[in-house]
Amino acid sequence: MMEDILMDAIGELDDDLVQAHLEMRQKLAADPPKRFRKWENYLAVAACLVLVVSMTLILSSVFKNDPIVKDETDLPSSDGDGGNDNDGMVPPNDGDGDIEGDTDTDGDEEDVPPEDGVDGDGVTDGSNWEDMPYNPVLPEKMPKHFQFSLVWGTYGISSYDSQTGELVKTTDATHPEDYKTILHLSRDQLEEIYALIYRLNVANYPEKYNPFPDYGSDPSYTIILSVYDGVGVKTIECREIAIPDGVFTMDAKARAFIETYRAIRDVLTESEEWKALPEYENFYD
Amino acid sequence: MDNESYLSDESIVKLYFSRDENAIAQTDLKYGKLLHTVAYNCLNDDECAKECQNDTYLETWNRIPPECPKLLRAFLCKITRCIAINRYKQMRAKRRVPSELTVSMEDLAYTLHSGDTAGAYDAKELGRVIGDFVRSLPQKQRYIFMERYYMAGSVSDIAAALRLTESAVYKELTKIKLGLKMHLERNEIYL
Repeated sequence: MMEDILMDAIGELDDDLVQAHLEMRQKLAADPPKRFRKWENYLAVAACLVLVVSMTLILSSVFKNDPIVKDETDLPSSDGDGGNDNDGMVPPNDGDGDIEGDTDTDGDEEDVPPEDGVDGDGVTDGSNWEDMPYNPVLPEKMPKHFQFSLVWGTYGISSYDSQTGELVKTTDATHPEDYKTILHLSRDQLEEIYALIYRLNVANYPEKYNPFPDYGSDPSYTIILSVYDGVGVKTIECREIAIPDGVFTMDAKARAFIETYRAIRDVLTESEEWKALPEYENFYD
Repeated sequence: MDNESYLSDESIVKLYFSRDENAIAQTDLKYGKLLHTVAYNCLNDDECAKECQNDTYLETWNRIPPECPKLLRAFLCKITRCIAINRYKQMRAKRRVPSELTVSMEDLAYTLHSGDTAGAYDAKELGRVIGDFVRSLPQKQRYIFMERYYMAGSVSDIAAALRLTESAVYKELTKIKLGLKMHLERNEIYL
């Protein structure tokens, strides 16, 4: 085995290397290096500046009797893209209350299709679906309103949302709009993807998940899988994980997740729509 | 470790030469904890680690004299690591050993694997090439390499010792592994 070859070879390192390391080890134990000494200074200066600016703003708002921050909805999203920042699935009919507001108590939700984004009472529910953990045990047969979205790639540059059909090859381009297209999956393709997700058993996975906790990579990789089963959205979010092609894991659960992600991704990237998109400008992998 | 309260390495070696059994007690007192750590990182089993420690003392007793180690600490560590790895291989034949050694070596092997047919390499020769690479590393990376792959220390312990984040250690490990792969390929070694 290759591991054995390496273990034996590393065991043959010269005594002086080993001794130097052991001395360094002892020295570090006795006198650990101070962490981020320079940063601490910068941090202190930055904190003072923030304090001064905050105080100035507060005082000026008090004297002018003018609110510092208007309604939160007036604020642009932090990444400047209007909030559509590939950070997970936009829930089907998001914003019109279908998902979050219409969970009824008789459990027959799946049989009653929501009609054009209006709840039973016709009122949009303002509750935030992301705040509600949802752990569905999916039925073997694909639910009528099944939808999914997948964000993947280095820094999550690629995405697909079956609800809107928007397929994004990359957001990292001079003209990102050139890398977007619409892909409407066939019923068979959707069923194929549902079967993969059903076998994965998404209820087994936490909302924040790292399949490779022992690994890291720079750049990091992102996979966000969201599943809508007609009742709620389950999202499994893997951010800042190691690039899956470069690591090996014995964890069956992690392997199942990565294999499912790859299979879904392959369905998307083998489509004519994907192939028609231009070549990447930048490559991270 | 307070060096004042222990015998010097030279004095311990002298005890071995005079066949004084106090040599073992003094070795255990001074280096017992270190040797236990080396064995435990390989085996993830406290009892087995203690047995490796005792086997190390016996082996040292048998080897000094005639050998006269100039660097006693490295000499002892090498013996413990060798014994622990032999035991590790026996244990692994029955089941996967959930130790840091397993994780670190699988990870390293995965990165260094060239995909081609691996050649047969002498451990000593490969060790010499790896040694050259380790010597070329900056001090921090050298520490990380030795701690992760020689001592089989955990990433969290390395991060704590260097006051780095675990993520920073992983990044350094990635650089080290890729550097080693290139170094091996430059020496026409394909694993």
